[in-house]
This record gives sequence, C-alpha cells and structure tokens, in this order.
Amino acid sequence: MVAYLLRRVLLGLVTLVVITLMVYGLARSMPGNPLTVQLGESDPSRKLNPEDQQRMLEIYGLDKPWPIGYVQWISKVIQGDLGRSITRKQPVTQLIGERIGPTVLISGTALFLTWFLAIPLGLYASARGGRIDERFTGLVLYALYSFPTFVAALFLQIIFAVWLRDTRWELPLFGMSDLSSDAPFYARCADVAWHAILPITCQTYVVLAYNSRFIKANLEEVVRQDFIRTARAKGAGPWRVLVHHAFRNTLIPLVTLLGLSLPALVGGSVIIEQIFTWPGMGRLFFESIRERDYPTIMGLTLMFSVLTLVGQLLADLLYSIVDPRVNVE
Amino acid sequence: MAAPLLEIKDLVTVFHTSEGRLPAVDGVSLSIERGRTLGLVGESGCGKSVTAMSTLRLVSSPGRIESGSITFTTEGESIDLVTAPEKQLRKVRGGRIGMIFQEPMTSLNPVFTIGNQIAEVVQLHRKVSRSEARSRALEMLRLVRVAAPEQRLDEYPHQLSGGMRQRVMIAIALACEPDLIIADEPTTALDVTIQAQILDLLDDLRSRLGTAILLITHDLGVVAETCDDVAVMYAGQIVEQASAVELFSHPLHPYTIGLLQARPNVDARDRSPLATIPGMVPLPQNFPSGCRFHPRCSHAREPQCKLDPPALREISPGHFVRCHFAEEINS
Repeated sequence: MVAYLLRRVLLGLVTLVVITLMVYGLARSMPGNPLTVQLGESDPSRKLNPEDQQRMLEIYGLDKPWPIGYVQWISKVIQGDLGRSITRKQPVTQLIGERIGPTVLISGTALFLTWFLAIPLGLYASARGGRIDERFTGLVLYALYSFPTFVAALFLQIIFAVWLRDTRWELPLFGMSDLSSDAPFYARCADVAWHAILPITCQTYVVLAYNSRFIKANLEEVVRQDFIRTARAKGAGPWRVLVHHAFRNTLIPLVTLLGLSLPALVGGSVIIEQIFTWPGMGRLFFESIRERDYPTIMGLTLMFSVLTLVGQLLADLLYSIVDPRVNVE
Repeated sequence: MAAPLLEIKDLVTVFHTSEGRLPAVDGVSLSIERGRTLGLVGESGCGKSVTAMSTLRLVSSPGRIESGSITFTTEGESIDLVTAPEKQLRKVRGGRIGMIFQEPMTSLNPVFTIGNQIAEVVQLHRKVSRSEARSRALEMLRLVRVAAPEQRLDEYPHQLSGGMRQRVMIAIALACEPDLIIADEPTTALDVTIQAQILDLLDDLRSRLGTAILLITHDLGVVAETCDDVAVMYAGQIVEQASAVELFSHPLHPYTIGLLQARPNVDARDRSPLATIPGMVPLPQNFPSGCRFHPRCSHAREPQCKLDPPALREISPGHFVRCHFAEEINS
C-alpha cells in the first residue's frame, strides 16, 4: 500500500511538472505581456515608454526566455511560494483564498444536488424503463443535457430578474451580494444564498441530466447480468434487486465520475461565473489569462492539476472499497 | 394418490420479438413427485431452460407465459405459480423452490461475500437475526462440502473456483430447505471431474434432505447417473417421457434413439464414426409442420409425419411418446 502510494505520488509529481511546463510555455508564448495588455488596452496614451517597460519586465523577471522563467517559478513553488499577481498586486495564494469560497458555494451545492437527485432519478428510470412516464422524463433530461448553459442562464435571468421583477419570485440578475459588509451576518448569508440560486440551478441541471442517464445506462447493463437473475430466484423483491444487488454494482463507474468532479468543485464554471458576475475561481482564471497574469495562471493551473491527480487517486482507492475484485497493489 | 409436488400443464411460453411470436415452450406438461429426480433432456435451444425459468416466472421480457398452469403443492396447499400474486411467488422463490444456474462464474454477485449471499436468502424467508443467518450460511457451506468454510464465508466470488462457486449456488438453493431444486445445466460449465463431484453432492443431498430435483441437461450420461424419471424435449415440446430405466432400455422416439446413439462409447471396439442426428434443432420462428422432428427423422413418412402433428401417447404404463409410428419403429 505504501509502495503503491509512493509510486502514485512520484508519478503525480512528474505529471505536474509536465503540465505546468506546457502551460507556462503556452502562456508566455501568447502575444503581449501583463504590462502591455493591462495598460495599453484601457488607455493607449498610458502606454509605458520602452525604457520603463524594459525596467518593469526585469523586475518581474520577464526579460529572460520562458524556460528560465519556468525554473524560477517552480523553484519558488517548491519553497511554498506561488508568487504575486502582476496585475492585482496581491499574493496569488491570497487571491485564490478570496475566490475559492464563492466557487465552492456554487459548485459544492451543485455537486451535492446533482448526486442527491441523479441517484433516485437513475433508479426510477431503470425501474420504470420503457414506460411512458420514464420516456417522458428521459426526453426532458436529454433536452436539458443538450441545452447550453449560457442560453439557459440568459433565459433564467430574463424570467426571474426581468419578467418576475417586483414579484416575490424575483431573483437577482447577477452579483453575489447587495448588502454592505456591516449588515447582520444572517441577513448577508440569506442574501448570498438568494443570489446563488440561479448560478446553482445552471450548474446543476446539465450534470444532473448527464449523471442520471449515466446511472440508468449502468443499471441497465447490470440488470442483465446473471447474478440479478440469481437474486430474483432467491425471492428478493424488485426494489431490493435494484438497490441492493444492481445499484451496488454501478458504484464502480460512479466512483470514477465522482473523482473527476473534484477539480470542477474548486475550478468552478467560467461561463456561469462570467454571466452571473460571480467572484469565483473560474472568472479569476479567465481574467488572469486575459491579463497575461502569469503567476495567477500558473497558481491556478497548479491547483487544478493537483486536484485532478488527487481526484484520480481517490477514485482508484475507492475502487478497491466498492469492488472487492480490485486490489490497489 | 396425493397431488404431485410440481405439476406443469400445457405450459406455453412465448417470446414476442420483431420476428413475430416465438413459442419457445409449446404445451409442455411435466410432473415431479416429492423426493424424486426428473431429468429434462434436449439439445440447446429446445426450450428446457425456458421451461425452468417459467416455473419460477423468471422469464424476462420479451418472454411471457401465455397459457398453462404450474401447480406447486406444499404443506397441503396448492398454488398456481403462473397466476400467483408476486408476493406469494417470492415466498416460493428461494424458499420452497431453489434454483441453480448454468454459469457459476457469473451467477453470484461480485461485490458481496459468500456468507452474505447465502445469509441473504435465509433472511428473506425466515425471521432470523443476522448472526443466525450467518451461522446457517456456515452450516450450508459445510453441507455442500466446501473446504475451510469459516474462511470462505468472508471471501468474495472471484476468490473461488467454478466448482466452489457452484457449491455455493447449491448452498443458496438449499439454505431454506426447499421441496424442490431446479438445476439448470448445473455442471455444463465445469470440468468433468468437478461435474461428477457436483452430481454426487446433489444426489447425496437429495437422499438426505428428501428434496425433489428437476435436472435440466443435454447430457444423457448425467441423466442415467442421477435421474429417476426422464423427459426428452424437442422444439418446445416433450417428445418422450418415462422412468430412466425404461427410457434407456426401451427408447421409443426416433429422436431419443438418435440421442442415445450419438453418445460416444469409450469401450467400443469398433472404430466406426460417432452416430449423429442430421440437421439442427429448428428455431421457434420456423418449426416444421406436422411432427417437428420429421425433417431430421430417418423413419419419417409422407404425408402423415409432414402434415399431422403427433400427440403424446401412453404406449406402456408411464411411458409417453410423441410419434405416429413408435410401435412400428421399435418392433
């Protein structure tokens, strides 16, 4: 077990170096740099003169070729320093710390809702497979699955923020809170929750449709197996056959899916956070790329990569728990 | 005379597919007496497994029992398993009738322990605690002669060999002391040496526990060793039925005769090629008219065999055959 974990961690470290090296190279190869993009875009007259620019590039270490920059970055990372954001003048860790909460609020709730609803939906779809009500729910779920989030988000905004304005069903158009920081704590919580309804809905429905269909497809596969016939021949009722015997066997593919959703939990959705102006990680990532803010890009890349690898490792470890045939060694 | 333990009458099980209505079982009647072993024999595709599945209403869609009755008499009470409500049927399944399947490798749930799977059937049918069910599971593993039963109890199916798994299936089938065991090709997937062990075990358990057995097989050797009575099935119908002794000494139906001749004989001095029955078992979508065996039968006579479906006739007491010319062929 220890040897296995050690091997996985070492392999993970190599993977991390490869990922970050590629992302760093790509980021640095994009046209422009934090200085030109930031200032030149907003006001051409504020463009730095070449000498100043050169001086600042030297300060940020951007005057050298990117492989050297990468080595400098990674040697700092090893010491536990993710660097400072060039455009926001803040440590990257502090930036992430500010943004991670709002993102986890949305994607954590969405993830929970997704599984909480997808499992009963999948079981229901499998139990009633082919009947008229199941076909109808299936149709609705497929329609939802193929409906792009950004369109759905706009529709929801029109319905709840425009058409239903000044009714008790009104929901905020965007943002995370309308109250100032001196408002009572509970009032602020309620306000944030109220703002979070639409983004959570948007992030839930697509994954819900996908997951419930995934569960149904897996259940249908399992239900055809011989051991299900054995369970019925033992006198188990249909519910027990489905939940105890069949569902238990679908946990194996579900664990993979769950492991893969770990990075998304913290990564957030760029589209949803952008549409609802939600101050989360997805937006931070998007903005840092636009601003060529290399330290932030790299800090986020590193974090997402680590989480992806950890998610996979957790999934593999969970396999051996849900499937006795799997041995991690 | 008391009612037989299980009496199947005119059972018709049909599969409704895109190719139309396929009667896999077409008017089968069988009866099994308490404590006896009935062998149901036939080639692959003749409907023996569907008959077995129909008995516990385990035929899954698009298959459906269309008509007939399956009367199961236990503790002085008769139930028609075809029409019994699902709840009552569930008490019979695993409780009064145990079932063993052909594929021991896939018939056990891979994610539960052996002990768990035996205990489950006990808990489903008896009001017992977990630990009581577990000790019953241990007792059953000992009964089916699994080595190191205490250790096996906490093992998973993949840790066991095919023969071991089939023993576990037998333990599950017997755990609630059923009146009848339906064994659907229980030894087909096993090595020859293991086959003999499993058959011995079944036979031994039957004589000790008094459980009747419906043994479904394509292997006449297995029938000769274990069965009291034999029914030969062909194309969804019973073509011959008699006691095992009678059937092996005086086979009447050309198909049965063909099957008996098609068995390899190790002691045979002559090196003549093994006799075979020409052709294949017809599928339900193209059952021949008249006698379903006539295209493969060397005794077939036009036009009677081609046009007139023969009925199952009692030729001598307890010996039934479905052939127009049974007497002539055998005289």
